[in-house]
Amino acid sequence: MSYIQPGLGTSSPFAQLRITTAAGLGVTQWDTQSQTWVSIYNVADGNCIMWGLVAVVANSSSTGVGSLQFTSTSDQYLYGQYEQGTAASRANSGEVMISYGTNATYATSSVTGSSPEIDNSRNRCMLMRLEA
Amino acid sequence: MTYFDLASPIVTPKKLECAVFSWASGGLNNACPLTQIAHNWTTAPVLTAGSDGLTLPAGYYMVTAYVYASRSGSSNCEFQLFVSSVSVGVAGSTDVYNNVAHTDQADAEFSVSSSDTLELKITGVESSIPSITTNSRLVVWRIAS
Repeated sequence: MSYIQPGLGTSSPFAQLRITTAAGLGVTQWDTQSQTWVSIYNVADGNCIMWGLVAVVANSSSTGVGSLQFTSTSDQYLYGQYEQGTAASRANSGEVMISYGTNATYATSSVTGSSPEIDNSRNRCMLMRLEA
Repeated sequence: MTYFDLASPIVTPKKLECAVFSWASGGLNNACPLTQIAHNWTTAPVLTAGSDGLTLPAGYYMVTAYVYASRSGSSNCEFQLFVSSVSVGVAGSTDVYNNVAHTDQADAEFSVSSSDTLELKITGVESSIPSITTNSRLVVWRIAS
């Protein structure tokens, strides 16, 4: 497959979204983007293949779930899970979410048990820009 | 898949390249040995002496390391990607919930201006390092800059 990709000669077609601040429940946003063609407000300049992971931190014996949502496919969520009772407070992610589009919304929710404690060091969304 | 640089007076196609490696444990804080499985790089990937690092030519990179481990109890580890001995991206880890193993990946996105070395290291251990199997993968996407 070949196509014209303006600007990609001077910037990377790969990007990463991160969140580094403490997140409460509900829809929030990324706060760090690695390329200027994607914003922390979840909009990329061009369609991308995206995959993301959300991670939460084990906290005593509580259970909770954090989620990552791609708004282009709003019916799909990625869940992280507490790991219970480990000696180290570990972060887990249940599965990787993959989508195609221009939006990747970071959101948290408490589906089971207590509020999830989001592991800000490990949540990420990776983007591979395919077309402008 | 081909990218074109319209900012250049000469339109130059740029190829999306990918290389896949398997990796094994190198012990805590040591570079993990890599074995090349497949690639479509224009110039074949070059592993460092000892095969525990990948030489990266100038370009834009996206790298993901997946783990497949045989483990028990709290035998877990965390792993991270390094470029020229500096950690990049987000760490991954072996992962367990109710004794059902899941996998968690390490991801990184970065640029290389001339030449660097990519390494994957186990950076944390809970109890002991699990048995990393040959199904563990390192996937390196690149486009020449």
